[in-house]
Formats: sequence, structure tokens, C-alpha cells
Amino acid sequence: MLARFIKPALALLATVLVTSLLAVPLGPLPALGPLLSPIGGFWSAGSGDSFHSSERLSLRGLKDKVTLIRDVYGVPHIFAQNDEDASLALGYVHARDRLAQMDLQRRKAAGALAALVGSGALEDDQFMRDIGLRRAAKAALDSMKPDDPVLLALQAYANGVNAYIDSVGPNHLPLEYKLLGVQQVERWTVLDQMTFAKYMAWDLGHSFDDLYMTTLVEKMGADKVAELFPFDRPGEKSFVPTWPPTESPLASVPASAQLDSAIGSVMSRAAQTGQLNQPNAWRGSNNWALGPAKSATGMPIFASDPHLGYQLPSLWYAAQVVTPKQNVYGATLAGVPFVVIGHTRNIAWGPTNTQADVIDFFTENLNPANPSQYWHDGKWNDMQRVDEVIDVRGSKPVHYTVRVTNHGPIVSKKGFAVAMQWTGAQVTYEPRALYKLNHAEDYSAFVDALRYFQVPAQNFAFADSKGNFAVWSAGLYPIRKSGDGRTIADGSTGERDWTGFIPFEDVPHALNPDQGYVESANERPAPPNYPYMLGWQWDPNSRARRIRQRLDACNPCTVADMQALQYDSKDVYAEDLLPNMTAAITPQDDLQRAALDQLKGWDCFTRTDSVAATIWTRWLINFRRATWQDDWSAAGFAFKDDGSLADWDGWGFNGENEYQPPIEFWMSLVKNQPNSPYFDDLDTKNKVETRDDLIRTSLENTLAELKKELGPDLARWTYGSHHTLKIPHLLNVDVLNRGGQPIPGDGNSPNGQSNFGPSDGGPSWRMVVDFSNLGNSFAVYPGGQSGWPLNAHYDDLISLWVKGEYFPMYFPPAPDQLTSAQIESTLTLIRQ
Amino acid sequence: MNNNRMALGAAASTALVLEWFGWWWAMPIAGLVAGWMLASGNRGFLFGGLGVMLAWLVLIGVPTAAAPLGRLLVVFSGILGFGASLAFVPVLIAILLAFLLGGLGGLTGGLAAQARK
Repeated sequence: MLARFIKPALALLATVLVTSLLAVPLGPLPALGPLLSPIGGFWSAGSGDSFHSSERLSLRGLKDKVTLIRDVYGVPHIFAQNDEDASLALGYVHARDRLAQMDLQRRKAAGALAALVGSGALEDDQFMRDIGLRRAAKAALDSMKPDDPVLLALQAYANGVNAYIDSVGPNHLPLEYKLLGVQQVERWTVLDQMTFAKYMAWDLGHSFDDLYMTTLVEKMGADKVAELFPFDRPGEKSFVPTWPPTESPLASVPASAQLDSAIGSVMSRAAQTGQLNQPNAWRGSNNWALGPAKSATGMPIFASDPHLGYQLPSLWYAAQVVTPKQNVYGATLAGVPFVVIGHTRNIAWGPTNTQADVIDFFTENLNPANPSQYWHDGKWNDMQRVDEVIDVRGSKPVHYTVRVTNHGPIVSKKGFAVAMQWTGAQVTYEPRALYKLNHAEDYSAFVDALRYFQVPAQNFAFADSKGNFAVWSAGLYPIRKSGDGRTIADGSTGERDWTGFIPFEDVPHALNPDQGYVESANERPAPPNYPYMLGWQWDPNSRARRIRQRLDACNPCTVADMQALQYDSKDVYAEDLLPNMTAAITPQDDLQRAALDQLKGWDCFTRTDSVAATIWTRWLINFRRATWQDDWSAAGFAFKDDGSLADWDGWGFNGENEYQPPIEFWMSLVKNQPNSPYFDDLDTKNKVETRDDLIRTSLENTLAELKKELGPDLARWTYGSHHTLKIPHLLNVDVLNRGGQPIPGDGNSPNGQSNFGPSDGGPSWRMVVDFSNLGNSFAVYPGGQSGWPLNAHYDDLISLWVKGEYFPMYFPPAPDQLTSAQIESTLTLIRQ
Repeated sequence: MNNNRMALGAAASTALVLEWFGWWWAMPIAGLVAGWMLASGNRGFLFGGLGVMLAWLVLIGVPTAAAPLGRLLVVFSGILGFGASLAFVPVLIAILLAFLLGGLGGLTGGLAAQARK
């Protein structure tokens, strides 16, 4: 009798098996069942949560009505009766356009990605837990008073985000969740915002260069490294006038396997979690402000273009917020309720990364009898132990212990215990700085706001409607008991401990300098005679030089001139070096002859139709490598086949110098010391090479490489044939990525891009503010306002950005000041 | 013939209801209804599968009609690893999957009904 039920039982088993298979991810593919399901699957991604032309919603937490008008570029203009309602509305619209991005960002910051994506992110999460961004954010949050207006704004913002999360339901979550197979989004908190702010500080301010310098000193000796990496680089000019000098000699570092193991451990953890600064990973930026005397309008013109990695959805989100206490427009970060770069009715501001040295590493001497203790201040001290629980999707939670000394968390897992001390671990209040900037209407309010902007250290340029223009390198800069912090220190002695921070009034700054403008492009802020140690990782000064060149030359300057300067692709290093380089070449064949013809007739603009730009950018890389690779090999460094260092990608904040000494140092050798021993190739024992020998061989190699990569026809070696835009989606799904357009600019031009091949970083936001008519201000970024891939605003601004064009920053004081041609949709939010 | 149509209709309407809640994994239940009604494994498989497939076609058609269909399919096709020229493939895979789930449920229901007799 039971035999009759065997067939249906087998059929049932097959059904359960197939259904189960469809419920789990298969390799790189998400689970097909939920993905293909008509309800809640990919189909409902559609064009995303588009805004209807006229919509009315009631939201919990609002005190009064809010009118939100989206203009034709997708920019929301929020008109509220009070600041908290405005923050709530901004939170709502941020979430509606960018929820998945916000969620991924806050999880990355908190070390909670594994809960979303599984065990593949566990190492990443452990590293972020060690760094302790969330702990630092919580400490700041716990110190804020309940009636603090900044806290109230942050809370209102969280309410707005949660209002959207509550409204959307699992079936209509953004596409990214469908690809990840996630059906629920955790509620948004104030701590999430504070942690994300800390993450931005980390992303812009962290550096492992001290570990590289330690390795260099260990292998090459302190004297040689001091010569190759001088504090004062030839031709360098700070953007703030003089101060008295100070410099400490580099301490020697004895060779040590334990030390090498510890450095290797930290570096491999950083590499695995994507924290190393890759060559061409752009973090440089430009800003400048023209005073009335240099402006064609007689009023200041302000320009800001931060250079960061390109991504979709973009890091930035344009918005205007109007309440009785503020009217501000600019770039916000989805996840934080304030304009970060922008203007109010009377002031404009924008930052560039100071790139100060605000991280130090210490080897800790552990007690052999009790490894939870370390020696400091003449005694054994107990480490603080922080127990973290990391949720892992599809697995049991992982318990992880962070060990913390007086310097900071231990970040090595092998060799010596290495602690990392970073200014961002302090209790800081950047949201307060942004809140105050959004409400500032004059210079003193601007300066007051900057007191709270401590991490990451940023050079804020400023202009106002009264004709003032200024620059301030706001930030927290450590004062060390001794030394310069460029190498790992022995933490047990306390000799290199931090004793405090540079007083705010003493940070580099200038107001209305005689030259008629201020600018910063990540070059050194203060001259060699500045009394405090700020750092040494300044970007090559090419952008700063070109910007000053143009600002000095235009008299007067117009808004169009400033836009053109943001798009400027001139490489001043090519101008400096090509005369020496081409003079050393006697063409050996037709290809060399043709190449020289191109270079000699070139105006040094890296335009997309330029063949010379292709040859130059590759030749520069090869000539520099030819100079240094043998010296590094002789010191014991290994190289990959492509000429990059095996264990290090690049030092500095954009890796532009690769592993090599600063380019300014090298350029001074090229121009002034053609017989420098550094040009001798140590691999050729019976010959002593000179500069010109390396020029010749590097050109030969360059042309051979280009012929292989781009074909034999030199006329087709146009810069745009390989130098194209690359914008990856956060999940790097091919069909969601964008790019492919030829773009101008290289690593040395104001329009900073990669030097060769696809460029995945550069001007992430461009803004020009005209104080003679704020409505005549402009912005653009390579992306779009919406994070929904099928929404018209997902990528609509890219085409403008590629061409160096902008969208207008409509700046109405009231909703009825926008014309119907400017309006795309209206959303009225009312109290629930 | 009437029985077949009734079974088809029952499977489709059950599938519509269950899928409305996003319960794609419950599609075999819709198929099972058809199979049970027909008391035949083979016909249960066929009409259970067709019923669920029909329901999914309707439900996919509605949101995609409101969206830029071409772009939606191209994106989806790209995510699954197919090129733009194969943008119809995700729809094909979806309806085949629906048929499979419904069909297996129908087979189970039909064989169970037969075993009960």
C-alpha cells in the first residue's frame, strides 16, 4: 500500500530540492528564485522610486509643512519652516534616491559589511573594528547635549531616512538589495551618521606611508632617505606666507625580521581591505577664490573641485536647503544632513585635502609574562580590550577582540605589536562644523565653524559677498615630543608620544593676501619656516603652479575663465622637462623621428586628440622608473613585471610618485645634474650611465610599448584612444558601470586624472560661485542624483562633466521663485 | 477539456495570490492544486506549470510595461551575464522557472491524488 506513495514522495522531494536550489546563490549569481520573482524581484526595480510630478506625503516627525521641488537636474530644493524639518526632508529624499549607497557606506564605516554580504567581508570588518571609527563616533555622540541643535538636526535626518525605509517594504527595495538577496534594511541612527563622517575622515586622512618610510630607512639608511625625500622640495611654494623653520633628522631603523613581519602584516590587512593608496587613486583637489580686484565682476569668484575616486552612485548629492535660519546650496553626502561644499547667501567654501601627517605607528613592547600588558611610562600597563561581535550573513557571529594601548589600537597580526595613533580617534565634532558652515554668512562665522572641523584636516578656501577671500588649513595636527613621525617609533620609550595639538589660531591661514587670490591644490600649506611639523606627503606641485599661472595671468578673470581652469589639461612638468628630454635624442628611426616631431610641436595640453600626450605620459613614467628601479632593487626591494613595486603600490595621498622620491627632487636632478649617480644603472656593471642615456633608453622602451599596445600607426596614438572615463558602480556590476568617453587631463594638470589608460578618479565635483549673481553659479559631477540605474537621473550629468560643462545652481529664496521650465516635480510633506 | 481549463485557472489564480505576497517559493502549491484537481501526474505537470507561468507573465508584464522595458531587460540581461542582444533571455528564464516550479507541484499533486484513489 505504501508503495503507491513512493512516486508522489519522489516528486515532492524533487520539488523541494529544486525550490531550495533556487533559494540560494549559485557562485557569482544571486539566488534566482527571489531575483526572478515578479513581485520583489528584479522587475520591480524598474525606473526606481521616481518622483511624480506632484506628490503629497505625510511623514511622522515633521512639525510643519515642507515643500520639496526637484529641478530638471534632479536637485531637490527644500523649503521648510525650521531646520529640523529641513533635515528630515533631506533624510527622506537622500534615502529615496540613494538608500543602498547609504547602507553600504555605513556598514563599511562600522565594520558591519559581513552582516550584509557574508564572510567575504569579514577581514574588512575586523580591520575597521580595529580602527574603531564607530567607537570614536559614539564617544562624540555621548558627549552631545540633548538640546544641541546639531544633534536635533541629526536625529531629524534619521527620522526622515527611516520614514522612507518604513514606506518602501521588502518588495520595492533598490536593485542592489535584490542582487544581494536582502529583504530588510536596518533602521538609520544618529550613530550611523557620526560613524560615516568619521569614515570620510579616515578615507581622506589615513596613510600608511610611515611604514614605507620605515622600510626605506631600514634598507637604505636614514641619511640616504633624508636626501631622497627632503622636507623642502625644489621649486615648492606654500600657499600661506612665511613662518620660522624646524626640521628633525630621520632616526635610523635597524634591520629587524620582527619589524618587517609586523609591517607586512599591517600592509597586507590594509591591502585586503582596499585601504592602500593606489597609484592614480585620486584624492587630490583644487580650490581657489578670487578677490574683487582680479574679478571681472568686481565681486569674488569662488571655485572648488575635489578630486576623488569615481563611483556610481556618486559620492556627492546636490541639494538646496532653505529655512528662516539658512539658505545653502551645494554638495551633500548621502548619509549626513549638511552641505559639505557650497555657498550660502553670503559665503562660499570648499576644501582640499591638507594631507598632513596625522597618523603615527608605534611598536609596543609586550610583557613576555602577560602579552596583554605593554611597557610605557616606566611600567607595565594593561591594554584595553574591546570585545566586538561581528554578524556574518549565513554564519554564526564572530567574536573579535580589539587591543588598545595608550597610542591606539594594535593593527598588526604578526611580528611586533604595532599600535596606530590617529587624530580621528579623538572626540571630534565635524557635523557641528558643517552645521555652522551651512548657517554662516560672514568670515567670522566661517572661522568659528572651522574650529570644529578637525578630521580630516582640510584646506578650506573661502569667499564672501563683502569681498573677502581666505584659506584655512583647519584640522587637528599632533605635536610630538620629538621626531617628525615619519617612521615607526618605539612606543615603550614615550619619546615620540604626542603632547598636544597645534592651536587653532596657529594653523596655516591667510586672509586677503596681496596677490589678489588664494588657492590650494594639496601642496604644502606653510613654508619651511613654519614652527610646527605638519607633514611631508604633499602632492606634486604641478596643479598649484598651473592654477597660479592662470590666476596671475587673467586680469580680470571671469566665471568662464574659472570653469576653463577647472577643465585645464596643461601639464607644466612637460613644459619643464621636455626641452632637456628631447634635446638628448638623435632619432634612430622613423618612429622616433615622428615621436619627436609630435613632442617638439606640442603645447603640453593633454587633450584627447593629442598624440604627444600619449607619448609624454608614458615616457615620464618610464624615465622615472629607469632612474630609481635599480636603486630600489639594490636595496632589496622586489618588483613586479610591470615595473611597480611588489609590496607597495604608491606613497602619498594619490600614489602619483609611486614608490619613488618626490617628482620635484627628481626633476631638479634632470634639469641640473645630468651626471648624478642616481642616473647610473646599477645593473650594468661596466658602464656608468648619465641622464641622457636613460632618456634615450626610456624613450626606446616607451615607443616599443606603445607600438605593441596601440598599434604601429603613431597617428592613432591619440590620448583619447586609451584615456577614457571609468565609473564603476559600488557593486561593480558591468552593466551598471559607466564610462568609455575619451577625457583630457593627466596626473599633473588641474583637471587631474590618471596618467595613462582609463581614469577612475579625478574631479568628483566642480563648482564655480559668482558673488555678483549667486543665481549665475554652476556645478557638475560625473554621475546623477538618483541611485536607481533605470532612473533618468542615474547618469545624466556625466555627459556635461565630460565636456567641461555645468548645470546651473538655481538658488531661489522661496518655492515660487523657480520657473515651470526649471521644475520637474513637487513633493509636499505634511505632518502625520 | 473543461477540467483542464479549470485546473489551469485554479493554478494561475492561486499563483497570482501567492506571488502577490512575494512567495515565489510557494508556486509548487499552485501547481499542486491543478495536479490534485486533475488526479494525473502528467497533466498535473503540464497545467500546473502553465498556470504558474501565466500568472508570472501577467505579473512581470505590469511593472515592466510601466518601466522603460528595453533598458530594464538590457540591465537585467547584463547582470545575469548575457549581452544586450540576448535581453529577452531573463524573461525566458523567468517563465521557464515558473513552469518548472508549477509543473513539479502539479506532478506531485497529480501523483498524490492518483495514489489516494
